[in-house]
Amino acid sequence: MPEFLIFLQENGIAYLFKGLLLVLIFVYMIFSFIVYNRVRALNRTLYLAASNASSTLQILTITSFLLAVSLFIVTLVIV
Amino acid sequence: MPDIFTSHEPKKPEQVHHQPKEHHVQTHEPVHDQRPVPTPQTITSEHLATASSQYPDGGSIGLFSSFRMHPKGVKFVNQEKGEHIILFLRRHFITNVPWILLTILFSLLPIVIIAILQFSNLSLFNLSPQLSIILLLFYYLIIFNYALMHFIIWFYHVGIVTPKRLLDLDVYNILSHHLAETEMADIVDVSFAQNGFFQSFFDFGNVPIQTQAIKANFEFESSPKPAIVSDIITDLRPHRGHTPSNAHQKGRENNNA
Repeated sequence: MPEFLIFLQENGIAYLFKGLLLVLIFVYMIFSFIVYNRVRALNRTLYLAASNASSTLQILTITSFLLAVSLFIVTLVIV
Repeated sequence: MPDIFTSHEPKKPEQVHHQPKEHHVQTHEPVHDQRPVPTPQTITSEHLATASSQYPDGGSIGLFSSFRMHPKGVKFVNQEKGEHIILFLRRHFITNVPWILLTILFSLLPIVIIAILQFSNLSLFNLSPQLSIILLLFYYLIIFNYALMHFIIWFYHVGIVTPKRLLDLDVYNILSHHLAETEMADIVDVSFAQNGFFQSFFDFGNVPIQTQAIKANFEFESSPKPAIVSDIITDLRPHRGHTPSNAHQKGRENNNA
């Protein structure tokens, strides 16, 4: 049996899982960017300046996007 | 009545309801309205003064406020210079309970599953510890985004009442929103409806606002204190004695003067 197939047989599930996870995190990353953009658009429609509520939400969405990017990189490099 | 989510407003000295409390659904019929016909001047001064004195408030809108009169620091698209917001509405905070409970439930789920697996010495997959941690982090990120998304939908789903117009910003989901506005003069009918235990207990309900036939009707959904909202809009609405276009025209002339 070729070495490649032996390697796949031993680590197949793990690599398949990692690949699937990378795809999912990438999709999530795009989605969280859409959410960030949507909040920016909604802030142009309605802005609550006094209590910093709009800014807080924008920070939360950008944090979510950055976390997704970080997770993607960590999955790609470390795992 | 638990009212913790309806902003930090001071207690009203006395709520004067024009609507009888025993009827949960009520329609204001302007045809039988015996009040004196207001001039365009009174639409923005007398009516506004009436609404304001009955329901005093003011201050900034918090992250979780759902009802605020005369809010400060709110800006909306196409806002005219000096256009003051009388009423700012969101859906009652209690409407968020289902997704909050679901978020808590799904947050606890991995802990329960891990505990069961450890207790029974079973393993679903032979994953490396790094991959397991990444998987768990991803799971919690999805839950965080789920909660954030629902909060954003609630946060931006607002109704705004100014002396000149009504604005209804509907956010159906994170990918679509719809902004509608109508002049006060175009409002034909205002009513409110409270159905069921929760709406009666927490004092919230729908406030449908009927506009002229060619325009879409509005609805402030699950609005806190629907009777007050309905009352304020009715007070601000020009009298039927004026044709809407007349009142609008005169109002503009008055503003220009």
